Amino acid sequence: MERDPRADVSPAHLAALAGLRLSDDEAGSFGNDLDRILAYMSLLSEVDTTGIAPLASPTAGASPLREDVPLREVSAAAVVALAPKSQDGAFVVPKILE
Amino acid sequence: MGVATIDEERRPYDVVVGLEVHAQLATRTKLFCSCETTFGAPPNTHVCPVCAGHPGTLPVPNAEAVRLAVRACLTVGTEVSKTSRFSRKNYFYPDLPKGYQISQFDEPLGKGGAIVVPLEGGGTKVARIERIHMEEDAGKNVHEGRESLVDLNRAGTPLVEIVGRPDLSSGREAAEYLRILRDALVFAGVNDGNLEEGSFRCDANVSVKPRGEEKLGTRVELKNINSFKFVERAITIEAARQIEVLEGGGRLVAETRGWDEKNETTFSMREKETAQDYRYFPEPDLLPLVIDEAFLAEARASLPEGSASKRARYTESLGLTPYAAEVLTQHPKVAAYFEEAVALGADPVALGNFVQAEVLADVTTHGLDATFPIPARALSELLSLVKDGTISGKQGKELYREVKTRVGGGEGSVDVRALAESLGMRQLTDETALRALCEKVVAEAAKQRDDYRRGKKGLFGFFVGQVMKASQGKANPKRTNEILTEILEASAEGAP
Repeated sequence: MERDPRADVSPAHLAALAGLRLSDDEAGSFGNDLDRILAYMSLLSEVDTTGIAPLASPTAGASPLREDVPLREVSAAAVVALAPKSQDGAFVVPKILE
Repeated sequence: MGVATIDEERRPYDVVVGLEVHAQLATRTKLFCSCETTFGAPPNTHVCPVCAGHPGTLPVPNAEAVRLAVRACLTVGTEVSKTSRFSRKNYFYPDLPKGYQISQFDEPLGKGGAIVVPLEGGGTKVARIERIHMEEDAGKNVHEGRESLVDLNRAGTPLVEIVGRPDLSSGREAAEYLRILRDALVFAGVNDGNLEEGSFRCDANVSVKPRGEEKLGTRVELKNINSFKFVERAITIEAARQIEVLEGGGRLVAETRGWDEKNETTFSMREKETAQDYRYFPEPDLLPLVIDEAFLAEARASLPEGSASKRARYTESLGLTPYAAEVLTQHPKVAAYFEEAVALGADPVALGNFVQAEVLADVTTHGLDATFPIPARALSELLSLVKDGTISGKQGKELYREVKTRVGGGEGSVDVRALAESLGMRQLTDETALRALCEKVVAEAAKQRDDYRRGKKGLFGFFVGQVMKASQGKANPKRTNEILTEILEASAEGAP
């Protein structure tokens, strides 16, 4: 988590992680955008945060918990019905390549 | 020169094994939504907008899952963090509808802990636990032709991942570690221990290094092996393969390998390119998980007794043999059944023997549940009839079968004593009647009686048999022996 945030942000790497195919032009343009965004965000590093715990959420407090009781508000069939393609209740997707 | 190379002895190697276990928490509902967790339901019958990853939905953690995860920590001495946090682990796969798995990363639920593994040559080894964290399971894919079918019933099922340090040195140690861990989780009611249904899954990281070498060798991950026996075999064979490669001058690659049980080999599934980039970041939809003192104290207080403690108690205070204690603690429900009957007054040793000899074969277990042929109360009553001599041990076994048939036939509660009477099961213990019967038997077998008195002591069994026959098996064997001895040994005085 202490790594340099800019080390991993080549447009090609991000595109690969996101499963996107970028043209060279797009890669160049996104690269410029990302550079500007990161340069702006680096303003934050100017603040001295020594001794301050990282803030993961702006809301204070602990997560509420739910009791372990089954509840069905939306039918499972309705969820499956939203899929572009289904077969015998299963969602159908293009074959996954390992 | 060539000779020297060939004759050079093979260097000794150390095998290094670290285990990662995914154990499903035995809850009724999923980790972040109220869908039921079931095994084997038709595809996508337990899905909702939350576990299907619809935009705009929010996860709410299941209190029971947290409770069980805390219990998992307590059973293996893992320190529970007061505050832990959920993180997103990002990757793309159709069985992961959100595009990320909610897991824990830099602030896990628990850190530390250990499992004490008995070693083959005696002694023990402390295998350390690195961490225990909570996460949701993914769904399932079935590949069919050019398409894949996705079932999200399992997506969102609560898991704990128990990450062990690389402290194990063989397949056998790894299998022992897993047996002990599974046993601990099952007895704590955390996990149903079912490897076949995938509710207890294990990945093993295996490497080898020349003995004395500090640096760990190239690590191979063995995935999804579904029995302890195969874990042991797979690690042993994988370690041998790695040594073979190194000795042949080859190089190992970091990869994930599967286990082919038919051919007893491991096979490459995929190479680990660079370390996967999961881009973990704190889950913005969830506040920190806070385990306060009260929650922790409640979890501690409600932690069921572990099997090792039960075994010690059964042998030390109840007088059972270590073997009997082992058999009776093979499943928490079997131990509970035994303890219930003891609490109702059954003699522990007689009960233990009876359960092993008669009852266990009729017990069916599924996960954390078990079905017993007769209630513990009925068994306790039955054994008390044997103990006070009302019925014989042999009749006890018959009576057990009779009770079993009635319970199996749907009779809710069987009055064991009344049933024994209605079946005419009553030992002949009445002193006068039994003595009269014995005297009659001896008098009617004058020849055998005289032979016995002349020294053919082997005939004693004949008289016992005759008494049993005459009493239709109802004579109390112990008193019969005593009375017959008295009568037969009274020869000098010239009695019967």
